[in-house]
Amino acid sequence: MPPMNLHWKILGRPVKPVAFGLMFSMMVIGWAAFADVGVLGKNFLADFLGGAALMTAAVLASGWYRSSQMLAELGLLMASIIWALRFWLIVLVNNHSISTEGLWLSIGWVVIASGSYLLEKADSLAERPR
Amino acid sequence: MNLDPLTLALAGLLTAVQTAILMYAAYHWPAGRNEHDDEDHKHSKPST
Repeated sequence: MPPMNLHWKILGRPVKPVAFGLMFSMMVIGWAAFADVGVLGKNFLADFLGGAALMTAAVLASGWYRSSQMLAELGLLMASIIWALRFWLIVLVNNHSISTEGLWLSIGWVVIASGSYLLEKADSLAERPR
Repeated sequence: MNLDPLTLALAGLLTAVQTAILMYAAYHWPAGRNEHDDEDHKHSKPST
């Protein structure tokens, strides 16, 4: 079964719900970091994570706009890394507390980003001449 | 917040391991068609 797209289009390109959702989540992490309202608080580390998240959002956006498979895969992999890093930082920095909802939400986002990356990668590997 | 270098290094290491497993999976266990897709489709009924 070939990869499927929604019929809805923006700027002549199909709407990609997972990529858009991840892009939005990256922008939220970036905003929370620079506005110092995130779970990691006000420090250099949070700003570093926020900067990387905004870069990831840019990669996902350009991958969608240019219809680039390579950028789409890179963006999904970067999003997976950002969410995984956020998860581990919360676990380790937040005094090993499991009562932070950000920790549990991070697990869900890691699954979404990692799974989407695996599916995108499988598409490009399947198209490769054998 | 306890932001000592060891904690940061550990978080980075754990993330790197997780990413390595993901990339290994992408190349060695690529997603594919479910073997039962055709069979399931044959017996599927309209959802309405």
